[in-house]
Amino acid sequence: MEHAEILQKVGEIVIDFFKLNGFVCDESTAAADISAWNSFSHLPLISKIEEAFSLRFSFVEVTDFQTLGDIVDCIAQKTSAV
Amino acid sequence: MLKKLTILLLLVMAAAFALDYLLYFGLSHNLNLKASYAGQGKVRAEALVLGPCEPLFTIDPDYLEKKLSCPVYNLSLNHSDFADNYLHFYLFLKSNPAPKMLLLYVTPESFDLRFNTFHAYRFAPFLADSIVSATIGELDSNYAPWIRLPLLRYTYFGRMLLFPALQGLKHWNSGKQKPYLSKGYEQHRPAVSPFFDPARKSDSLLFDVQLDEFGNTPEDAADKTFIWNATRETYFVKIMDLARTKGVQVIVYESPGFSGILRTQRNRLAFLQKIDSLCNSKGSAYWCFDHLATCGARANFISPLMMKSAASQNFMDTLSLRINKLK
Amino acid sequence: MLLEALYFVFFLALSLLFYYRSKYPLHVLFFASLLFIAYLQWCAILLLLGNAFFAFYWGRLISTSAKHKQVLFVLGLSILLFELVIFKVLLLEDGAWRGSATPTLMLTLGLSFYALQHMAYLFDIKIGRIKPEEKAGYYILSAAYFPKLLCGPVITYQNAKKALFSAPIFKLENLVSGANRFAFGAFKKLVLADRLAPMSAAVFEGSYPLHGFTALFGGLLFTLQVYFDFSGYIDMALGISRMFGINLPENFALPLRATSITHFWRRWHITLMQWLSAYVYYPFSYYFRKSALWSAFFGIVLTLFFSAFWHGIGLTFLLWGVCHMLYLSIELLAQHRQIKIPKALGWFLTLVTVSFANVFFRAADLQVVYKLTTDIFSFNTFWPHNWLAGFVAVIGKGGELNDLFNCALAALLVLLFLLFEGKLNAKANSDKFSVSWLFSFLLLIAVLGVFSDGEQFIYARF
Repeated sequence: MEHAEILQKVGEIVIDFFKLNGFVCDESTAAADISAWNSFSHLPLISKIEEAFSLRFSFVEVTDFQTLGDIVDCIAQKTSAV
Repeated sequence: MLKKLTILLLLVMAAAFALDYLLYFGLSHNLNLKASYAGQGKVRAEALVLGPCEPLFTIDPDYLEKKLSCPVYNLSLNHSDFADNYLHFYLFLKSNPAPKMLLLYVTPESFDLRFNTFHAYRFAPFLADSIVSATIGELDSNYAPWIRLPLLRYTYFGRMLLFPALQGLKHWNSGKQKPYLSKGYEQHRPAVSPFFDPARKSDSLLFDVQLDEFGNTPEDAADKTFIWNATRETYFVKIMDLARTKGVQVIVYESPGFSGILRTQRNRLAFLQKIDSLCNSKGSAYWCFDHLATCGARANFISPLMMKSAASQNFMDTLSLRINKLK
Repeated sequence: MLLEALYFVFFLALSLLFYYRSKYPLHVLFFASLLFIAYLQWCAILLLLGNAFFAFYWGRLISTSAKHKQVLFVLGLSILLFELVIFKVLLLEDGAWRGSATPTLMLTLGLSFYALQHMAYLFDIKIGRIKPEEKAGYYILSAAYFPKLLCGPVITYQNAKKALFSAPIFKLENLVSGANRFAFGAFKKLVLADRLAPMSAAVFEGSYPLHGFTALFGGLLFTLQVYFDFSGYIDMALGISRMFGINLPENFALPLRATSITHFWRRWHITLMQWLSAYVYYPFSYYFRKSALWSAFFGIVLTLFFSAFWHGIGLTFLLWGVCHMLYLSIELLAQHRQIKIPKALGWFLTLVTVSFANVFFRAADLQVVYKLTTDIFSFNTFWPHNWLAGFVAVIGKGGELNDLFNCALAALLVLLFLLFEGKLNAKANSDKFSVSWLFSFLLLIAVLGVFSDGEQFIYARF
């Protein structure tokens, strides 16, 4: 999958998950930019992304994610390796 | 940078010295502080009453004056020990004519460190006096290092001294002549606790935690053995010595206490004997009134050693009779 | 206190001088830290060094072991936890709120804080997030570094490494901004916290029945006191650290302005919450991430349970934890159902509920908890009928004019401070030498500070 394609898909999941109509995501979008994105919602969101791409993130990966870009990079790495 | 630092240091020093003087000025002009009022040299008394809260709340100079036919001033201070009393007596004598007699309230409690204490903050405006500073050095080792620091020597006790200093400035500004307690006697107030008590709904604005309960503090509890303290003894003797050098006759007395409590004090008798022999050696009279009928009735008392006003008037009658006989 | 302050200034000046002049600045920091602990309590050094050595070698052991990583990690963690439990139990005997510095407390100086660092270190090595430190000295220094030793901030080894081990470059701005921050913290501690201390103590240590409002207000007073006490310490610690050119993480972000409990926990004792979230909440919730609600709920329960235990073993702390569990769960449910309330109401509710929970936190034992909750929930006597006698005289410890003056002064200082806190915080971090700033704070401390019977730092108890 292309990088931009992953970003778009992840962005859609995020917008859908937090019900943010009209919000525009890019690589630098971080938890701080979305008020509902906190420790309580971080893992359920990750779980949604895992489902959508049918892959698993490790614990270290999950806790090291800072921005959407990080997540996209990680997915790109995992999907290209397959 | 260096210039700014110098400016800062100079400013801080200047402010410290200025505020130091302001606080000193305020405190020494506060007429409600007995030491400061005495320092103005306006008290004329032939009989001086000295001791902790018991004489403060029970010996009314206006009443006693009629019986003794001479001016009386009450120099007692709440919760004070002999060192407190000694310094106040000393500061009083420094600026006022010596009285003819000193009525000094003493009980076995006075020699036990668990009762009352020394209040160094009361002497903050008198630190320049060597006797005052030496006493503080001996009795309050925490405060002693601070007494040479400008400003901090007052603000160390800020919670006790800031308000009196401001009040003193007001007294000075308004030219006030008489203190709130004009003869030093503080009439005790209706017994209302600041704490909520469903059984006693009072809306009085007057309250005092100390006075509302009978024996509610552990120190007041019955059944105790006193412990003699040598420092207390030293300052007790100092008061008598100071009085002797000024030709003041000392009458050491113990006002009636509730016999239900006095009875349970295990070594009371031994203490009374010790006090008696100390007084004898210094040529002071020692009168104890624990045999009066007043002692028997609980209704006469607010707390074990504190009489209600009717009972204390009776006591003052008895006391003045004895003093007049002595004359 | 006067002598201690003078010693400390002298100690700090010498440490700074040697730190910037020496060829071995880290050695200077290390010895300064040991000296600092030794002055407080000799034996605490042994415990500190023992723990640091243990974590250092155990970390290596975990990383080199091929098969038994998990076993070794669990064993190491259990040893550290067990030690924490032992000392918390010993502290229980001393009574958290009675007496000042008990022998056990002095012995375990900073243990609660450095134990967290060691646990995190072992965990991070086990999951492969970091490699074990090669040099024992570095690791020990990161645990012993004196500005953060007594009450935090809590840091992980990787943060400590970034902050501590760069070559010192002397900058005048660092000294200036450190001093600005230090003066600000000293003001919070000596003026605000210590003026509030006797007022909250009057509510928590009296045996008389109180009006419900007065009892609840005691919780608010304690909340304010602990905030000024702890954040004042943090300001001083960060200020001193900045003088060495070392930036420690912030621990508070205007928590009293939080508009919800979730919000509050993101601004209060931040480094502990980050630790808890990274090492308790996330590892647990990771396995339950499929169910949004349950993972969060169980995560909250476990996190607050650990947090309560960290503050002290005892039912009072547990009750405090349970309160916050309830608050957070309710908020989570409300969020789930998309219920929203106005910000002002949220702020008010947060302050009241946090204060209420702190009644349990501050209470010396269950008897006090029972007494105060009975007071608070006796609704027909909730409001004092005589405010002067039933409220001011209680927290002022008497109803004389002087007591009224002290209450009013404390109220005025606290309100003004909280009103301008955002601006003041910004100025406290400035690296400009401001004569007016330092002059004002030095003078405020000198005039309004409590020197005669100030309290030790509350968070040094935990």
